[in-house]
Amino acid sequence: MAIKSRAYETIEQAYRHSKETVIEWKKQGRLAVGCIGSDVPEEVLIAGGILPVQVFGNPEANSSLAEQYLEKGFDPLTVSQFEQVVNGSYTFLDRLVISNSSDAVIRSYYYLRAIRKMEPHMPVPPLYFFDFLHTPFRMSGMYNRDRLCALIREVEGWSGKEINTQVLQEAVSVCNRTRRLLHELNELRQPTAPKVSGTQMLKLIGASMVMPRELYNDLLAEFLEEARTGSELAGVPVFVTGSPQDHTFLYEVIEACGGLVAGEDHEMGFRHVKDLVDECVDPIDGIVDRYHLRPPVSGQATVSRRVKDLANAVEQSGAQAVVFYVHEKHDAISWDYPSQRKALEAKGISVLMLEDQPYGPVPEETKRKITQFITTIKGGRS
Amino acid sequence: MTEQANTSAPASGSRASVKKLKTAARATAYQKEWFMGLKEKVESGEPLAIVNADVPQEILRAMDIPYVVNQWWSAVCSAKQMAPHYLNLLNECGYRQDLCRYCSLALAAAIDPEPEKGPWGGLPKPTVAITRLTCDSQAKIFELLAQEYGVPFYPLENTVPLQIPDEWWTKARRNWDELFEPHRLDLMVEDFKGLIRFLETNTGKTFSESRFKKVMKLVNEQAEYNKKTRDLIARTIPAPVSITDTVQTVMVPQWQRGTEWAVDIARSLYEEVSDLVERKEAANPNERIRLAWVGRGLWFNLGFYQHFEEKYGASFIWSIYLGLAADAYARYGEDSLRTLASRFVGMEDMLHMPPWNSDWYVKEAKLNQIDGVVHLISDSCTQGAGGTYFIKKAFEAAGIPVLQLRADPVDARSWDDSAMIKELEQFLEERVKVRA
Repeated sequence: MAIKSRAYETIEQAYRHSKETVIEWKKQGRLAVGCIGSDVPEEVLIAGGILPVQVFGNPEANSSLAEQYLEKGFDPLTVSQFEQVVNGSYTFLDRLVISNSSDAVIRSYYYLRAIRKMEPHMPVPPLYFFDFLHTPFRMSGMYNRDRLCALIREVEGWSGKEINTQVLQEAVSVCNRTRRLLHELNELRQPTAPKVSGTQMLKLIGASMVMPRELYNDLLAEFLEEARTGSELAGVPVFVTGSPQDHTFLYEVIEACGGLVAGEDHEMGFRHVKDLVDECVDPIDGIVDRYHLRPPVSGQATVSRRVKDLANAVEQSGAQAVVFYVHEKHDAISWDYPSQRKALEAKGISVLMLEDQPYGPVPEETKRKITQFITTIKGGRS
Repeated sequence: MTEQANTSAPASGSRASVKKLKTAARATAYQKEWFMGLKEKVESGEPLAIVNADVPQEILRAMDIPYVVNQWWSAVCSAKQMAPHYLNLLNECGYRQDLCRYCSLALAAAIDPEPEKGPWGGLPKPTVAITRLTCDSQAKIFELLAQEYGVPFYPLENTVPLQIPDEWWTKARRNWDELFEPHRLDLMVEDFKGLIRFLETNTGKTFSESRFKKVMKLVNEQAEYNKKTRDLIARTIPAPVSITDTVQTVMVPQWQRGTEWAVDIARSLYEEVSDLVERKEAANPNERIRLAWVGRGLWFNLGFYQHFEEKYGASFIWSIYLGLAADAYARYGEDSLRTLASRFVGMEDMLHMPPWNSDWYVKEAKLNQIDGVVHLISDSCTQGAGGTYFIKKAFEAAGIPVLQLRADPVDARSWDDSAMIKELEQFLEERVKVRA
């Protein structure tokens, strides 16, 4: 059984009740800025004394208001995030920064902007678009550098606080501490002697996206020491890829039927903290490199890049099997699948494709497929 | 869509369009002639580029590199009723059925074991593939296509504006530096330079500034004729032509822009429409209401529109194709490459992003004296959706009723002709208030 402790419970509480966490912060008269997309550099907001807050969807609520605005081609996580913004669940945010992490997210920005213009009564916070490019070229890197400098100037305007090199370096150190601690925890979910479950890891990473960072780091360090002494967990090591999981339903199902999520490459999992900012270089250069040169999110990469990145990530995780969990309408990533499957199967990795899945609780039929898949792998081992 | 397509067996519920203009016949007839000439050139060793619609084809034109536009090829395949064959091929290769269709037919042609059975003997093997990252699937589809052919691939970046300009169409021609933020133009110019070097390296062709300037001048001439034609149709009741004639007569030369032939067709279209106006000849003498078709053309069923002319006197007189050709292409400026960047940097915003597109649609509807709008929405394409809520809201705020029709522009497999006719008839009778 996965270890639990005071530190873990506190972090988990913040994950489950993220909005309350932010409201507490705001009570101190401080700013909180929402983030949609995986390229918003949290270092800049933290340097400005601002709490970066990932906008989560609500997997257990309908998105009827968002569906009025968004076409049927939008993936359901983006729809749910949009719903949370337009239904007023995030009115406490001072701003909302959106980065171009997917076509659907870019369109969300356009639509939210149109709502602010055409329906000013709607509770959409002031918006800022962080136009961060993903082609692995110098041209894009230099563009990103300029955009980052523009964001820094913007954040200075929001907070009234100068963000100089020293302040930015300190924020980088705080964020890197989070990442290093989570790297150590990630080691504890590796198949050799797993002590942390995938579900726990997803919650711990998710909480880092909403909690005041220094408090989070201290609690995480405490939990890390406790987790080292925990007992070993059993389960078939499984890697999760496909659509981002901003809730734990899928992980809970996999781990309830004999699997253990040893790694993932979606935006809400270990990818979020995998790469560090180089602290030996100018922090602006370091931040640009960190976000620009890491493996792109699934929708923003070519097929060959996705094949290579997935194969590497699966190998590093030690997983025996890969579950592709693709939300309905999350179309672009399905172009990767035939090539990815071929590459993984050539390495002897078992693959389960679950496409056209809803956002939220895992359907019974899908649960049956996961159970059967993991049982088959277990059978193969014995 | 084409005269050639008319000879193909149509899919169930699809009907070919009956054209009226000589220029339309010339334009559509030229497609096959041009394509066969292109195939000959490629067979004799000339390079070929396959490009997405929003790639700056002017650069290829100036470098004398033949090219095929991905969406043009999709429209041809669809009009020749071959889209189902190609889409089934993709499904057999493991790509699921409801993925992008409009942009994937060329990829399907690349994996076809019998490519010569494609329209007009099939797409020749390209030398390079170029796309723009205006949606998440573009890089993936084009890289797969390039890999299938074993050729290099160039992705052009796409940037997002922070500003919302008012009435972009009043500034786009000469004051485009007020419309588009300088950093976006700077990046696109850099990207174009990279593309030129890529083409020089991979095709052996050279870039001539003087040829490029000539191409830019010809594109402007073509656009100015398109504007005159649009304005003439807009103010003439009953309309001298319908979209059955204008869509292809504008789009075939659009893919040939920067040539004397394209200017000639645009001029000929204008003159022929002017002549009809002078002679007071209407596309539909019984025109009772004027409709706009917003969204992509229904390529496998361009005759669809004519039923409503006959039954209701409802003429589809406006589509995005002539509208954009009139307002979105002309650009004047000293620095040719930056001027070209200004044509493309905001194309995605103008077409697909509210309020850029919704404001413009309403302006066009008013200019063209439109009574009702039919908006084709393709659920398999996020890019093509483009703020349907805001478009509907903008039209309705202007007092113009809108029907949102859901269908794929190239995939006839899911088209239900009688249901679509019924839906549109109901709209005409109940919302536009016209009787058969």
